[in-house]
Amino acid sequence: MSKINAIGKPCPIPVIEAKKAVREIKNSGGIVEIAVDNEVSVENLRKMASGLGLKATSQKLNSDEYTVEIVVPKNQEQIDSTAQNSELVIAFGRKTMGDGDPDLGAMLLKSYIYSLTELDTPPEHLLFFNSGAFLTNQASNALKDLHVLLEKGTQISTCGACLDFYQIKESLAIGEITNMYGIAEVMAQAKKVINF
Amino acid sequence: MDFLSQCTSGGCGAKIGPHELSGFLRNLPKSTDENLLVDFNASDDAAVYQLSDTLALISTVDFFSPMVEDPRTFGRIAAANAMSDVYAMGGNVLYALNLVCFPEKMEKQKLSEILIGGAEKIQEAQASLAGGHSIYDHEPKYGLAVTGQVDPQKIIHNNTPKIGDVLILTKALGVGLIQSAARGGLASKIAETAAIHSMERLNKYAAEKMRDFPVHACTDVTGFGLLVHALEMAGDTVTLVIDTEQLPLLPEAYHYAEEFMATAAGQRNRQFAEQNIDLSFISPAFQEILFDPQTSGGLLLSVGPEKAVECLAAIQKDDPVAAIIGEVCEKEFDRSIVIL
Repeated sequence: MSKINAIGKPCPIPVIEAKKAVREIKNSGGIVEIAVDNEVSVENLRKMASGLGLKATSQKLNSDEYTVEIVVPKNQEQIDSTAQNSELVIAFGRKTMGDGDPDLGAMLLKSYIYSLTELDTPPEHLLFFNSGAFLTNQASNALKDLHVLLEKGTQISTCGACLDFYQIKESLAIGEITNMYGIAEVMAQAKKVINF
Repeated sequence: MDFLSQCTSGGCGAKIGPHELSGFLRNLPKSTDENLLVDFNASDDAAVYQLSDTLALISTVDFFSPMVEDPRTFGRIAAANAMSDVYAMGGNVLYALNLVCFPEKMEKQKLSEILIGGAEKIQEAQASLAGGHSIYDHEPKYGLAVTGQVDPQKIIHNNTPKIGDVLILTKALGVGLIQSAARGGLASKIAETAAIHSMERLNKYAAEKMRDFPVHACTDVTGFGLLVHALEMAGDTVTLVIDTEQLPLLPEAYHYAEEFMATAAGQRNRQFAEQNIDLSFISPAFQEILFDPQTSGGLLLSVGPEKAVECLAAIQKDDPVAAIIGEVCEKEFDRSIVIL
């Protein structure tokens, strides 16, 4: 149990102190208890906790004393900006599958994306860059299957610089625009990356 | 002929990196004059020279090349930036001298505009323009040598925060990122206007407010970015805790940080500070914001906790973006800064 006395401290200091304490015990796990003197601080602390995916309970001791308890599970992964490990990330750096005839390659890739919709566990994230950026475009014949994946919870991101380069940003039809940071981060945190 | 700086970034981004400087400053003779209360060894924002028990002069100089297209706006920003160090030390500005470099082939009307812009700000500071010096150069540059005054008992240093203090930042971050996006023609009008407005803003108003409160340390956040200036403030004795979620940001700044609009100067700041700070929990975009060089940035002040809310409210009257961004804690291990 780590106890913080934030009574008399101005907002947002109680939140900052609680956040720091949560970070410090995230490996061992435990409880952070913060004492504050107003309702607003209690709400801000609860917001902060839910933002980090943590449970918080609060108690009113009297009109100017409240406590908030935040439970930090052992090895809390999800803190601040660190994303959870993704199971499967697929990176599409081209609009065809394999080398050879481009029409065949496009058809193969379309049916590959369809096959992904049939998986028991849908992929965590699909990344589209270079000519792969055409696959998330209005003119793409894989859109229907990508929509199915999106509904199953797969994230879909296309490289913004590539959309600009091919001048197809206006006609992006699905998912979000990302950048090299985003691509690098998603790949680094993936358990498995499949590259095309 | 282009008015905008040809170097990667005008403004404070042109500042020579912190670790590049510290090396060769050591080779220079140290002053033995006892009246020189603050010199370059102190890594403080300006020099302070004591004249009597109640009067000390503050002397500081700042100049750079244009980071905006409009000469008059550039003049205003450069002047506001140059006077900022006086405010950061708790003083007020007495007079200023123009420093001018200007290309022989560029239309002189632009120079006139720069000087008018600068004079506007000197006037707003209720100070006098007392003279200057100008030379021909390949690229326009403008700034001021500024003289201010302060009561020697009331000098606010940049590295004397007290444990328990609350940190307040008076201007939003991200001007470097927005300028960088603007150069690539990618910045929105709203972001550009907000950045210019922020850079032109004198720190005078926030500085006048802070006189009524127990401010133990103050620095202006400029070319070294928030993080390196905060490192200077922490010195060796305390740990500053800063929460990225509390940072006031200019519109779109976070987005441009995500889009790699970072500047070379931001990278230099990163190289200087990276080893000393754990940034593993911080999103890459927030990291860029923390290292982003701020041309004519705001004041970072460390104020006693019991008066922090009042102090913030007073500053917010004229500078509504001011925010509490963290606090000063007892030194933990070897950490000068903890970023949340």
